[in-house]
Amino acid sequence: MTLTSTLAIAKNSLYAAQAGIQVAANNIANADTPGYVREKLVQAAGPTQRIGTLVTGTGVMIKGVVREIDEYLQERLRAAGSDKASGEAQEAYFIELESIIGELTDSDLSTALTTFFNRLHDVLNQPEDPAVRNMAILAGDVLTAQVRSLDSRVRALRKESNEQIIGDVDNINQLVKQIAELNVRIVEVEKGGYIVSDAVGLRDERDLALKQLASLVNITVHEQTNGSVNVFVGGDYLVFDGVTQMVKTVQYADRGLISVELRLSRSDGLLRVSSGEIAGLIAARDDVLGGFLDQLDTFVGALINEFNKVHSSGQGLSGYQELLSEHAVADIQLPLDEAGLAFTPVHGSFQVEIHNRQTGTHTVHDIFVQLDGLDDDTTLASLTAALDAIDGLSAEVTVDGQLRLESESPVLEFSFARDTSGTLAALGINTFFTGTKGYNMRLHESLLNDASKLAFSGGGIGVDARNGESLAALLTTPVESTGQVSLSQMYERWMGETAQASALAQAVAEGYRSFHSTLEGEHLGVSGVNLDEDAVHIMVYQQTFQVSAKVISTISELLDILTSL
Amino acid sequence: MAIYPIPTGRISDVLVTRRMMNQLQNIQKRLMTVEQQLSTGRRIQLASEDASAANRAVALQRLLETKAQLETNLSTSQAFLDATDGALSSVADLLHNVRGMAVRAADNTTNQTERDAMALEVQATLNQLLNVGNEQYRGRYLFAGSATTTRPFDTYNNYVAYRGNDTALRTYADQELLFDTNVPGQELFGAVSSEVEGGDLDPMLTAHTRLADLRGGLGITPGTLVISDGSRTSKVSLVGAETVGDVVRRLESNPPEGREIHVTIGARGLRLEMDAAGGGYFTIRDEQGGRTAAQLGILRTTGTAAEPIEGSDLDPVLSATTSLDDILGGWDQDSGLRITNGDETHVIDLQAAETIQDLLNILNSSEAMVLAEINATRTGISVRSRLSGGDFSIGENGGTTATDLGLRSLTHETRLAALNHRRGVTTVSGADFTIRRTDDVELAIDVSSAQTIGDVIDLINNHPDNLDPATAVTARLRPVGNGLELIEDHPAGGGQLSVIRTNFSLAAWDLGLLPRDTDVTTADGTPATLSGSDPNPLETQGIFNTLIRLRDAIERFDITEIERITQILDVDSERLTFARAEIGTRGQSLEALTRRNKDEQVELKSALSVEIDMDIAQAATDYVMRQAAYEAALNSIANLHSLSLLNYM
Repeated sequence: MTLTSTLAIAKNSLYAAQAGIQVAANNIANADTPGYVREKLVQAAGPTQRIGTLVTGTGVMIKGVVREIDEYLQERLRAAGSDKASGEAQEAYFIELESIIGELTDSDLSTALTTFFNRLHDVLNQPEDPAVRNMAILAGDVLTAQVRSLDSRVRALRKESNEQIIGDVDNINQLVKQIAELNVRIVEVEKGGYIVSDAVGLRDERDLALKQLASLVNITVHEQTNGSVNVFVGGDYLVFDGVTQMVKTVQYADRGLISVELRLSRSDGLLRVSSGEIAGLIAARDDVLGGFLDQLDTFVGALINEFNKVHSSGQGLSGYQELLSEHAVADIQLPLDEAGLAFTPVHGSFQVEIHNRQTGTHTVHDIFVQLDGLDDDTTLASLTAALDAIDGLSAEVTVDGQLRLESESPVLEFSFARDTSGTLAALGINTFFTGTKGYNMRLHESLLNDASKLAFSGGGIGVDARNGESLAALLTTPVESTGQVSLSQMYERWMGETAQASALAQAVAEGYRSFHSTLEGEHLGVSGVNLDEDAVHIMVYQQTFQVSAKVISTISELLDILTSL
Repeated sequence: MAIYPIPTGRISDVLVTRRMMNQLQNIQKRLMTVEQQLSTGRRIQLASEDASAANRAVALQRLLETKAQLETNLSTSQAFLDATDGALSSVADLLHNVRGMAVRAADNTTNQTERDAMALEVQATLNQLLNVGNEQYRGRYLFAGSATTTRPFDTYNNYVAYRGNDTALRTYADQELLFDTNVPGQELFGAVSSEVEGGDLDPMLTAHTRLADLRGGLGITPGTLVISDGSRTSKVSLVGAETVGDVVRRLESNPPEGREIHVTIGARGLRLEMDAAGGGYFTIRDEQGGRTAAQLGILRTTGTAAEPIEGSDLDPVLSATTSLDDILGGWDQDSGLRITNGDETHVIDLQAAETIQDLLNILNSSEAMVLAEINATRTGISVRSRLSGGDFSIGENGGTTATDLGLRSLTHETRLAALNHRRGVTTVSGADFTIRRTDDVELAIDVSSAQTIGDVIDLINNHPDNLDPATAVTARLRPVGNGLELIEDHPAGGGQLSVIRTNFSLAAWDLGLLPRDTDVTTADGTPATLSGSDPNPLETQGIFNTLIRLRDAIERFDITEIERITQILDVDSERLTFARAEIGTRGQSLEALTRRNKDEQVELKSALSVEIDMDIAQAATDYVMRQAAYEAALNSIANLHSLSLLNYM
């Protein structure tokens, strides 16, 4: 309670005011810095002092500078950021997928399909015109080209998403390292939590890194008492104090793409990703794009098989002198419905006609395909034998497991009819399309070389156009193998589902964006700088400074009186 | 568009800045959207912007493209029908002229020169009609049926042969609506004869008989059968079964537990037996309202013992691959048949045939110019002549092949009224002709009471004076070819067998027993055989046949024939008129369909527009509104947000 002690109090007050102004100035300077959390000066009254019966305070004590932040809000904000990134990643890929499909334009698959079937109508109108036949075949070729193009563009997009995942993994690892380093420095600066102050700039940096990491992958963050944070994904740690665990990519094949899955480098366990951009990319790659490719293959498979089933039961303007089946079986002794063919034949029969071009006569032979699961189901071996037994036709299985048919004389040609078993389509005999999926759908070479092989006739080689009637109407005919749905309905359902899913993804992403913005607004409410507020703080500290200075000058005068005694 | 709420609590400057940026971004984005809508005219660019509208739009677009194609189909059909009608327009006049000529030709006062000139005119008309028949349009022979690149009508010797078919060419006039676009020459010009009605070939049931060929071609509806032995049941699914053999195999491999079922394929039905040792009651029923067991003829819902089930007749029909061994229970395949067509007779050897298709092949590729097919009810085959203008008949070749197959054109059942191109047999009261046997016994035959060839044969064979086998003369159908034959086959021999015209009756001539314009015919030898000519030649009823016969009749000055032909000409004209009327009707239908199609296209375009097109007025209004919002935002940002306390300190 001496003058000197009062001087000390005033001096403390000056310090406090200076510090306060500095803090306010720092806030003002960083008002626009992204991720900046406003600082607050924590002051407390100095410890009380007792001299005799007098108990007095010792002025103001600067406890520290802390950040105004709501950690719980931060956690929610990070989670919202993960969801937003995940939603936006899927949304972006959906929109790109939609523009590849080009559904409402004139260059989409739907138009190619209709154009092809319309050309078949033209052949019905003028079955005698070879040019019209050729046009139909070319339209079929264009259709297959368009299918393959769609397939390859979606695959390219899928590859892109995979590359993006790999890039993101690199980012994750960098951020993890950064966070670990910051952990060490923060602990150092904060003396392990023994001081009140926060390591202001460093914590901001770390928060930014955590925010970026959260937008990549879903993390949970636990702050320890010493100020370092532990970062977990699922139950696995990425950062623990100063120790890190990297994420690595492991390759695997999936639907024609060398895909990657994410594993932890130390434990080798699968990274349990549920949100964040990586989750969105994985969903885009596997469910959105991968799923689309699956549906494309299903549709294309149905188109190829159903069209081929009708086509292979018809005859063209000329028969075949030799023919090689497109598909092979692995084991010629296995029943045809268990021989691993992409399209499965069923119990039924078909007819082979041998036509003598010189005499104009033809013979019809029944070939029964027995696949009812009872004894001696038809195998490729038994089928070949039955075909070989036909007078005028020789049949054999090649070393590759394909069926080769040849007429036994140059005046004989053969054709097929009435296949109720789908065997001809399954083996790829007298078919129109070749291939089984989007990437390999093509037109049979024999048609590109010879338009007369277009199997429009149903009553024999060059007799009528009955088979063509079925072919031309196939797009809208209910098909048994798909549950009485027509190919056009199948297509529309597929496109509708894709559009709906895209609309949903966009709505979901919008929802996440909205929620994230709301939380961010709240966060800024707590931690953002308000210039007017800090201006008021400066005013107050200025006054305090002025008054404390006045106190010092008063004490100085008093001391002068003492010394001039 | 999302709305971000203003947080309660503090406002920070960063928040204010950020919201400003967001606002500007949003407005600019919306402006850009409207600009794009205006420039493309589309309300939505990507399907996800309005998924259900986009889905409908895709379906509408496809429908529109299909309707446009159908319009092309209709106009092409119209073009071909117009060409067909144009071709036929000249035929009516030609026929009219010919009729006039026919009437003049029947006039007794014409002389040979005039008649020769008329015959030439008829020939010229015939040639013109041939040209019409062979008319082409856009590379298609209009009257060849579906054989559009084959010239349909050819001259063959003195006659006209038809090389087309009667298959209709069809195209889609609307979805699932097929429309005939041609008129086959077969029905229009009468290019093919009516069939020699083949009898029922009675195909047998085999393991390879298709289920679709049972019940007269109605087939069997697939379903599940429930077999029971009184205590245990089993279910047999026949879905996917194609042949009778499949049914047998499935029945035999799914008996009730512990029992055995054996199925035999009978000639016309199935027979099922359960192993006798197990006893019980053997029943078969359909599952749940099915009809399979009933259709297979093996339905038995109540059983009194383990007796076999004898299935009913399954009435299988013929298919091209039916084996010839499985028909008729045996028939004469070795003798062959004789087909007379035009002026030629051909012997057809059927020994090499194994299936129905082979049989048809041999007939169709023979030079007899016939069209052989499985008949409409699929119980037999029908043979028709492709030749116009000549006589057509099918007879035996020493055996019973033709009769077995039901193809002989002269049989016991042939009605006398149908003979001689339906002129029939003209009788007189009293005896029509007399047969003098080699033993000089005369038999007076009065055929007034006879209705059929068989009756005539019976009248001769059962004549009271003709009952002693040692002396009788036998009447029968000729073993080779066609016609009636009288044969005396006695070892004694000697003497002559004669047929004598009696009472100026025409009957013997009409029956072919006597050559026309003769009164007596005799034969001697051992055996003594008098073979008559074929009284039942068939002809192809059509324009070419009519003209060829007219021409020949004029040259021969055969007035009866000319008169007959004149009546047939009217039939031909009528047929033609019908055809043209039908073409006219079809043309009208096409017009109606085209009008409807065009209307539908307009409706579809408008529906499509509703789904995805932008309403220009709407877009323009939106644009103006958003522009105003943009200006207001910019204004408030510029003016309000630049102030702070520091300005006033």
